[in-house]
Amino acid sequence: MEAATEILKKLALSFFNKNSNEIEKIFENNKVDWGVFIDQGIKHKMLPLIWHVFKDNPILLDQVPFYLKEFLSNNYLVNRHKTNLYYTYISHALDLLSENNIKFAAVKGIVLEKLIYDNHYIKTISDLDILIDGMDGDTVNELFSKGNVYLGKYDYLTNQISSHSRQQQLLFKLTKDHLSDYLISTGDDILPTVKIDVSTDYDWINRGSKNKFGEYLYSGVFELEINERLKIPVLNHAYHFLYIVLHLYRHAWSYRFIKRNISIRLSMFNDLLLYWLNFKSELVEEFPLILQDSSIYKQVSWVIYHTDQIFETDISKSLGLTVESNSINNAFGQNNGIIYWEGSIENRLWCHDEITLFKTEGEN
Amino acid sequence: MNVEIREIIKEALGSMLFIDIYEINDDYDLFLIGIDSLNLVQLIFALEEKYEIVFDEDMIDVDRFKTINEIIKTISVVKERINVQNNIG
Repeated sequence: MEAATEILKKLALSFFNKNSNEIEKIFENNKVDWGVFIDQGIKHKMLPLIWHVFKDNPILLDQVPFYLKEFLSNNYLVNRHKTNLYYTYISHALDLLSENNIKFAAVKGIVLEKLIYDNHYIKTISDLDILIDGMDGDTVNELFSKGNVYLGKYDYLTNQISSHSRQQQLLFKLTKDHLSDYLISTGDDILPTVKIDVSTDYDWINRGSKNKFGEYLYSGVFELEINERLKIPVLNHAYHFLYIVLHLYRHAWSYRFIKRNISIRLSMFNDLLLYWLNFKSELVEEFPLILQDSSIYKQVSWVIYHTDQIFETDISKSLGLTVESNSINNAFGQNNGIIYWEGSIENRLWCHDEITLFKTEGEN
Repeated sequence: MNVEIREIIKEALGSMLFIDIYEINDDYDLFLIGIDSLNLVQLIFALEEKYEIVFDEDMIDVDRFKTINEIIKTISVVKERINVQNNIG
């Protein structure tokens, strides 16, 4: 057992319980490899959570080398600064949608930051994720184009917004599950633009059909107060939980993400764990109803099974989910179970060359 | 032409696919063997280069590239358009 990764796994629960006893015990009995700790902390987008848990606990803080304290503190301050810029600049884009009666809901980052991280600047916000009905895609494109929300990407070498390449334009046109990236200029040195990532209810595996999230926009949205100045529509807890579950599944089985070693991150599993701990009663009541749609059962049960494996929880049991033993390490559905990896979910999490764990049927 | 298309797919996406492109039939859904939208963009570029064509925006649709047969049809449509334009010109 590697002490560094064990500490990372305990952070979400320590945050939720406001108690770091288990992490203190790891320090008592083990020597922590700080190189591994920081490397994995960066890979898994955990640095702000590390600092948040450590900074108020003198026992933990005392363990951290001085140069890392400074690094973690600075990283946290930058994340706070960037998150606050998002709060400031996204209102304009969201107002454009509301004023034109576009049904939408914010998902993931900024919503989770409020709902499960209590606005402590723990999520690393790299964009504003919103979900719309795919039928509104052209209207949203038009509204943003007229409303000084720029189509394109930010080039950090030239400090300019550049147009999407033909490759990117084709990609957006083909997937349908996302609109092109939109940017709002901030004029800030650290975060010159905030990015808006608009996903639609077209199926995530590019089959051209629509999924149920479009219906949820009409039947299951409530207004969440992010802060005094920002209120945004978000999906009901069961729908949002499903969204982040399926998002994780999509990452876990994307060959492209696996090759780039960014398929699954501990922070994604943390989100699920904390969502569960914060909204358990709602999820137990409502989530099984959503899962009557059998087309997503396998994906959901796979994600929850591995969440339980990492955190030694029993969410699967509480939600009445079971995963077939021969599906635990396999991709099902779109790949017909052809691809699988050897080892545990943690082998994938901590591995630096994830693709080497994967085999195809018939390979030894 | 279907053998030629398979060769292009293999050249463009070989390492991205879960199974050998020669093991599937012409109507098999390519998304079931690991092709995703990014792979499809690579494939479109490879087809454009091979056949010296450019797919118009209205041709950029997943369904038009879903199977080997669909790809063959799509290329035929584009070639026909080019012929018509050349004849008019």
